[in-house]
Amino acid sequence: MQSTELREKAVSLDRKRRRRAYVTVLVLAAALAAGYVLCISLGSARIPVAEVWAAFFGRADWATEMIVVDMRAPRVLCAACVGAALSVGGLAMQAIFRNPMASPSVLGISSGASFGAAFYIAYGASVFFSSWGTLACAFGTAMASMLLVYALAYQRAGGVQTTMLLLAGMALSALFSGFTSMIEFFSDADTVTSIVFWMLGSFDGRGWSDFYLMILPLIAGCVLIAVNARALNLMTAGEPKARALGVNVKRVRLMVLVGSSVLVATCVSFCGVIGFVGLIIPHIFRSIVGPDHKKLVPICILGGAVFLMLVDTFARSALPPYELPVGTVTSVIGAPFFLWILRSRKNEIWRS
Amino acid sequence: MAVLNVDGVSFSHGSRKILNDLTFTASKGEVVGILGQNGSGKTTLLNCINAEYRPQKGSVKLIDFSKESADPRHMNSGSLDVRDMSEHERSRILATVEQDSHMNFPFSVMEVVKMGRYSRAGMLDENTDAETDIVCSAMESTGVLEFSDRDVSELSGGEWRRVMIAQALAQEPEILLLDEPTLHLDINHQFDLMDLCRKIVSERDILIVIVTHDLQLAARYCDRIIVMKDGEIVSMGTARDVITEKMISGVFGMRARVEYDEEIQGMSVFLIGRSRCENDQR
Repeated sequence: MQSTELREKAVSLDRKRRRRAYVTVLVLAAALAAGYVLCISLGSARIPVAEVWAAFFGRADWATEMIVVDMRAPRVLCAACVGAALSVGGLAMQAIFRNPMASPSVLGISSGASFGAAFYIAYGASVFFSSWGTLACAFGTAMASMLLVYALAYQRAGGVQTTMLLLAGMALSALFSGFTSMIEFFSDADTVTSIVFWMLGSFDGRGWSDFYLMILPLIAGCVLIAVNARALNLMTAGEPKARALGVNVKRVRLMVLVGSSVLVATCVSFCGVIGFVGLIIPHIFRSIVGPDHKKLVPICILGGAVFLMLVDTFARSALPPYELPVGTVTSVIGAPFFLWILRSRKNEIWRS
Repeated sequence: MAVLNVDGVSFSHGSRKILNDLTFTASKGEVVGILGQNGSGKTTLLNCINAEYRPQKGSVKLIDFSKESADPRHMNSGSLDVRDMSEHERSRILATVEQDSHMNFPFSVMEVVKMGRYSRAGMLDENTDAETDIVCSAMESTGVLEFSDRDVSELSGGEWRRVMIAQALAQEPEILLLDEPTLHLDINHQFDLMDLCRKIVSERDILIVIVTHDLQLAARYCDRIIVMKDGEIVSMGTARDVITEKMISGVFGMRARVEYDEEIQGMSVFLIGRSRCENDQR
C-alpha cells in the first residue's frame, strides 16, 4: 500500500534525524576527551601527551605534575564547564524568548553581573571577603536585570515582544555599565585594574577550589533546563500554544529563567564576561541537528565545553609570554565567525 | 449527553464589552459552527472555552469527559470548570487550532505533530511504535504525511494549517476547537478539511466546534449553528432552522438564496449581493 510506504518513509526520515544527533553527541564526547588532554599538553610550557598521562597517575616529575594536575587540569576543566554552561544558558533563553538573538550579553545580564561584581570588588571585599561574595553580588544583579528585561518586554497579548526585549536589554545594559563606570571613577587605581581585568574574562589562576565551588550551581542550572527540554520545544510555538498543548508555562518559564540566570551569573562571577559563546554555539548546532531541544541540550553542553576549552588554550598560548583574556578572544574570533555563519547559512538557521 | 456547557459567559476587554451573557451546550458526536462577522466575538468565545481568557461572569464547564483523561483528583467529579483544570489535564480533553500561529524555529513537520503528544506520552516513550503510529495516523488524515520531513517554516499557509490540525488530532482530544480552519485553504482543501471533520466526529465520537465566517461551509457541514452578533447569540439551532435568508440579511447584511439541496444533503447558500445598500441609502 502507498500509505504504509509513506509511513515507513516518514518514520525512517525521523529516525535519521535522531541518528544524526546521536552521532554528533558521540563525536563531541570524543572531541571533549581528546581535547582535554591536548589542551593540558599545550601552552607556554609544552608537555607531551604521554607525560600528561603519566602526571595524572603520579609517575611524572614534580614540576610537570604541578603544572598538569594543579594548574592546567582544573583550569581547562573550568573553561569546559563555563563553555557548556554559557551555551546551554543561551540555548534556553533563545527558546523562552522565541528569539535567536537572545543571549546573556544582549539582554544585559552580563552587565548586570559585572555591576554586582564591580560593586563587591570596590566596596564589599573590605567589609566581608569571601570568594562567594563576588558570586553572590554578581548573581543577585544578574537575576534582577533578567527579571527586569523580561518584565519590560512582556505584553499581555502576544507574549514577549522581540523589539522590546532587545531595546530593554540594551537600555539596562547601558544603565549597569554606567553604574560600573561610576564605581570605577570613584575607586583607586588598583581597584579599577582589578575590576577591568575581571571584566575582560579570563581563566587565569582558576584552580580546583574554583571548580568545586562552581560545579554545583552549574549542574543545578543545567538540570533545571534539561528536565524542561521537551517543554522548551513547545515554548518556541508561543506561550498560549504551549499552554494549549499541556505545558505548565509559568513553572517552565520560572525554572528555565532561574536555571539560565544561575548558569550565567555563576560563569560571569568566576571568570568575568565571556561574550558570544551562548549565541554562536546553539546556532551552529541548530543548523546541524535541527531545533529539537532534547537533542540540543546535551549537544550544546558538549559542544560549548569543547569550544571554550580550545579558545582558552589558544588565548593562553597564541602570543607567549602574554596570556590573552579569553573574553576578548571569543569576541574577536566569535563575532566574525558568527557573521560568517549568518551570511552563509542564513536559510537553514533562522526564519521568522 | 452534554460535553461542553457554556453558562452565562460575559467578557470585556477593558471597558469594551466583547461577550454578553452567552449560554449554550454542545454534545459529543456533533459539529457545532459558531458563525458571525469579524469582531462579533467568536474568537474571544473560543479563548474563553479553552481557558486562555478568564470570563468576568459565567463559567465554561466540561461534563461527562472520559475519566482516563482527567487528573486523579478530578476522577469523581461529573462536571469541571475549565479554569480549575491543570494545563496538562485540559490539553488531554480540549485541543485548539488557532487562527494564526507560527513557528520561529525550523522544526520538521513530524516533530511539530509529535508536540501534540506532550501530555499523553512521557519523554522516554515518545518514539515507541504505538506513539509513532498515532502521530503518523494524524499526519495521514490531514494529508501532511507526504512532507513529514519538511521544515515547517517553508510550508505554505494551507499546508501549515493542516499540520496544526494534525497536531491537534495527535492530542486525541474529546473536544476540538477550530478557529477559522478553512482560512488560507484552496477550495478543494476546504472541502477535504470539512469532510475530515465529519469523519473524525463519526469515528471518534468527539465534539468539534468550528468558528467561521464562511456561511456556505457552515450551512453545509455543521450539525448545529450558533450565530453571533456584537457579542450576543442571535440565533441557535440546526443548520436548517438557522440558515435563513432573513438571518443572513440581518446578521451579514447580504441578500442570499437559501435552499435544501438533495445532492449535498444540506443547505446551500447562494449570495446575491449587499442588502444594506438599499436600506442604508443616504
